[in-house]
Amino acid sequence: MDAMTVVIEQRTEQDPNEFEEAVAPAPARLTRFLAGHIDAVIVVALVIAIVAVQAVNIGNFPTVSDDEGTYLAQAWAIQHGHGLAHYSYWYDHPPLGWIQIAMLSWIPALFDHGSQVVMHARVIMLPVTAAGSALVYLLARRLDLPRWAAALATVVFGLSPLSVTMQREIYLDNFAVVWMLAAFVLALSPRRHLWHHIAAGLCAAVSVLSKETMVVVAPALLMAVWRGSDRATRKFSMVGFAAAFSLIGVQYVLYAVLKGELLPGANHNSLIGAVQYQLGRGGSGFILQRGSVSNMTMHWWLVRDPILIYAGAIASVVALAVRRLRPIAVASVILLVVAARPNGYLPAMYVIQVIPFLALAVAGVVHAGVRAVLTVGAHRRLVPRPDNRFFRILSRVRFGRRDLVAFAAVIAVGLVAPFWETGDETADTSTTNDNYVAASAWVKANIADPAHTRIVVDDALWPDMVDDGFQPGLGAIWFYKVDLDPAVTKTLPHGWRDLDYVVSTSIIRQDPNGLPIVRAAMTHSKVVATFGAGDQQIQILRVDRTGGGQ
Amino acid sequence: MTTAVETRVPAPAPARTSRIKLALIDRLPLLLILLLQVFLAYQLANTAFEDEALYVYAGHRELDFLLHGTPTYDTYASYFSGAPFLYPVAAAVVDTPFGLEGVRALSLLAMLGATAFVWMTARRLYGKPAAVVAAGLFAVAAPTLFLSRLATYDAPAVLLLALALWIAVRTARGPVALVLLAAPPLALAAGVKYASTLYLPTVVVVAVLAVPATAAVIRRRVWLRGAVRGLLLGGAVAGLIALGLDLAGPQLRAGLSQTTVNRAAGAEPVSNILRLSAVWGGWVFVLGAIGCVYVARRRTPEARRPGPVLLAAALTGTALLATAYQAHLGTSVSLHKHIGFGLLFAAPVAGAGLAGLARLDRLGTAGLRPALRAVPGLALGVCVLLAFYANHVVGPMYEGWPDSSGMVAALRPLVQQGPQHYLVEENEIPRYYLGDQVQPYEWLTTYFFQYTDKTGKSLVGLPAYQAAINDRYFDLVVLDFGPTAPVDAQITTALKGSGGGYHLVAKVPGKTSHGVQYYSIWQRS
Repeated sequence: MDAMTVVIEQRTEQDPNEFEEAVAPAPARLTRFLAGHIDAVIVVALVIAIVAVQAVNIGNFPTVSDDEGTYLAQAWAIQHGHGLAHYSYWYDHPPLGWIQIAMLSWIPALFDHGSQVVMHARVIMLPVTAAGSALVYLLARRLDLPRWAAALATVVFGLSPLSVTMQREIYLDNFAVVWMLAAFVLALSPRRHLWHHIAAGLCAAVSVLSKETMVVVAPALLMAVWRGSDRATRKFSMVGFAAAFSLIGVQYVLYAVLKGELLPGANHNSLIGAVQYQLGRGGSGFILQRGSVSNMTMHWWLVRDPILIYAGAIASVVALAVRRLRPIAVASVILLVVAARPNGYLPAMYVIQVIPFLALAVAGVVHAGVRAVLTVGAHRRLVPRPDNRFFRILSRVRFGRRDLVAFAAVIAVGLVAPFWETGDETADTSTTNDNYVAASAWVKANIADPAHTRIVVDDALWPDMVDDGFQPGLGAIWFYKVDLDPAVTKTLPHGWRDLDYVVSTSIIRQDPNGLPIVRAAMTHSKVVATFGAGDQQIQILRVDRTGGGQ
Repeated sequence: MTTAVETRVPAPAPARTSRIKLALIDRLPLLLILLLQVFLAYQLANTAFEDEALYVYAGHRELDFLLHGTPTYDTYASYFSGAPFLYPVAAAVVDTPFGLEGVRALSLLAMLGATAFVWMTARRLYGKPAAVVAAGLFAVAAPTLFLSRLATYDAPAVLLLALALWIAVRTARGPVALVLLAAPPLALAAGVKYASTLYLPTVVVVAVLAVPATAAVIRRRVWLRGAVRGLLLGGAVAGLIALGLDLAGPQLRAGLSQTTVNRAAGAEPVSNILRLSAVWGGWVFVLGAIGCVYVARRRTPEARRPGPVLLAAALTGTALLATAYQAHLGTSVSLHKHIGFGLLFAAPVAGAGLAGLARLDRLGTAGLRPALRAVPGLALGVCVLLAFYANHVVGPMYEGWPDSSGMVAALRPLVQQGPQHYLVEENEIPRYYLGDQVQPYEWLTTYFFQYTDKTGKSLVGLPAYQAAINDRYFDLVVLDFGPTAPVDAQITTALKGSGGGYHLVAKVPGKTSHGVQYYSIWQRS
């Protein structure tokens, strides 16, 4: 009887909410499974959302770029046994990026093939984005961020309009980023196994061999390995990491050595020569100098998403002060400093490398701020001393630190989300590649004997021409190669008179003076088809070998 | 042995002044919300909108007809979407001493009243925290702010619906016949603005469901009581409306048919209508849906009954009626106003939803773990955010029609006493502002024109305008290239080619949120 009394008293004093939890029926097996894998559930949900947003309209926006066509063409060369590139491989980038593209090129075959190959090939970027998103979440968790902050980092990484625009394009940077994120994830593995650090080195090497500029992040990764390793085994971890990184990385040099293309020389490409070219390449100006190409590139990023750029840059600097965030903060700051170097070369896709670190810095700093607000001090009343009835009633409404956080969160999400929704909607509804589709379709329908026709195109159209039956390389000619590749030029003994068609796109029109044969061919040609208007107009020009033209 | 006897002395009833003070303190959040509504509403400023000018002017004509038998020179009932002898007359009465701002203040008062009724309804159904949030959400919603500053019959119609809704809820636990008190405001709302009829079924449904939703103990009789209330209210409203239609005459019935029941269908894409609806009232609906879930999952025995959930669903679903009906019609005309009618019903449930999310029902509860405590900051954040966006949306809409002050100022010295002919594209505006100088029959419009030329030939449309210009029939012509821009262009050509018959007096700018619109004022030479 006494025991019964005790039980009743305990139940009476219990918090009603806790009581309900105590008497609630046992959860179903699925619920138990989900409850045991909350991180996995969150990651799957986020990845599905991100991939869905990025997949919609992926072919139609943004405008196909020459770089996408180049990498796809090089992947085609690997796939068809033509070597590392569709023309002579000249060490412009390490080839691992387009080797991965070649490995994924079976995916578009699952889907509808339209007339524009690059547009349809973009679908291969979806698994890359999915992997990147999951790795951002995992890395955030390994930086000791709670689930909500990790989810925030993932959302920023995958749903920023800048991300949605850039991550759906076939750029080497997207592959490199995924491998570098994997390297960070392994470096910060809570198990601190030696093989995790060795694997981090391997991933970092693959990342750098996918896009060489990723190497600038190496100091931050070393910092992560240092932090992620146990003091007792740190030296082994560091050596293992460095050995794996260099062992894989040196293969690239070894390839050049074995081909006799390490050092510059006559009549062959070389690794050192390519490095010299890249280092001596004209820069795009200072990023903060109005009117410079770099400044215009940054402006383009800001148009897509000023929030990510500004908040991310500020958060990266702030995150340097937070110990657990320091590796990604250092990575982010290094990448920002490299972008801001005077007269450096800053391509538009460079931002892809920075985005994950900006996203993690934002989430990390937000979490640090929230934690600081919640833990420093206790609840405070709006009215400190309720000395009459009015103030006693008012004082019941507490506006404490949790309220401040909730208020700020609602306002921040409410202000950012519509802006991003608009940007993402643009990405998911705009059609910017109609001219390319129409031009490609025209060529297919109107050029009767492609196998014996020479057509000069940009690389965005090159895979289409090959698909249509033009001879790869010498029939379908990438416009740069007409003047700059001796292997192509020697097949054109009569210069522009040996060409049949030029597909004039904005890329070809950008620098006609540097390419005299292409320029002459365009001068001595007639417009046979025009698609669109303005800068993005595409014209199909038939070369008039008699010397006429427009 | 001694026995201690404790005598409990009942606390003295508070004095009358103290009771008033307590009541004021209790309603302090509502007062603050109403002040906020006034403040936000008065951020909106513009000259008269076409409909405002039309209704107030019509009210003056109707009033003159009622008082002095002066002909109205128009059959307002045949094309108005509300009875011309109700709101327009009231508006004219206010307009005479206070002007347009006075009439707009009448709308503001009506919408403030609607907010107060939202508070009262939500408080009775879901408690005070939900009432605070509901009133806040309704007060700062874009349609509410817009209607608070628009002198049309929407605001009084909303007020009457809000009153009827509150009565339906307030009388749920009283004698069945008390629900009949809601019938007059409902019938009046339908008369003031015909489109209000769309919301009458909801009030009847609320009259039914409020009984099981608020009853302490559920028995079969509770549902029976609800059903009887519904029948009573439905029957009374139907009877009143039928009586009103019978008394009003065929012209009003024709107007009802033309403007509301058989309105000409448009071709606006449904996606546009959905987007507009989402922008103007989407979040309140979303919070209403959350409110339905909250009501269904409340940890009280009452919540496990179907009544409260059905009531919440009916109220929230009503927010979709305007969107659904206008999607059916294929037009978004006035949708931004009509959404406000639905929000009136959804707001109490939305308040419950947001209050539930922020756990405001646990305010003042001591001893809970931090994770279970109330977070008023969440509710405040949502309300502030929605107010921000509402302001963002409603401002450009309110400044969407041109500021006509310049045009009216330019016309004032040009109009003259006596029979004149003024061709003005949207003549409702100058007709209202210059009502003391110009008779109604002197105004002509670019929408329709019939003219008999010197040969006695009757002409319609563009030939009529051209012939009238050739005959120098119009004293003034004002074109702003608005809805009849193609006709305006043709008329402009005719004016320029009139051989000096007309000259351009002024090109007056009218500022709008989407640029400057110009009024071209031509005068007969």
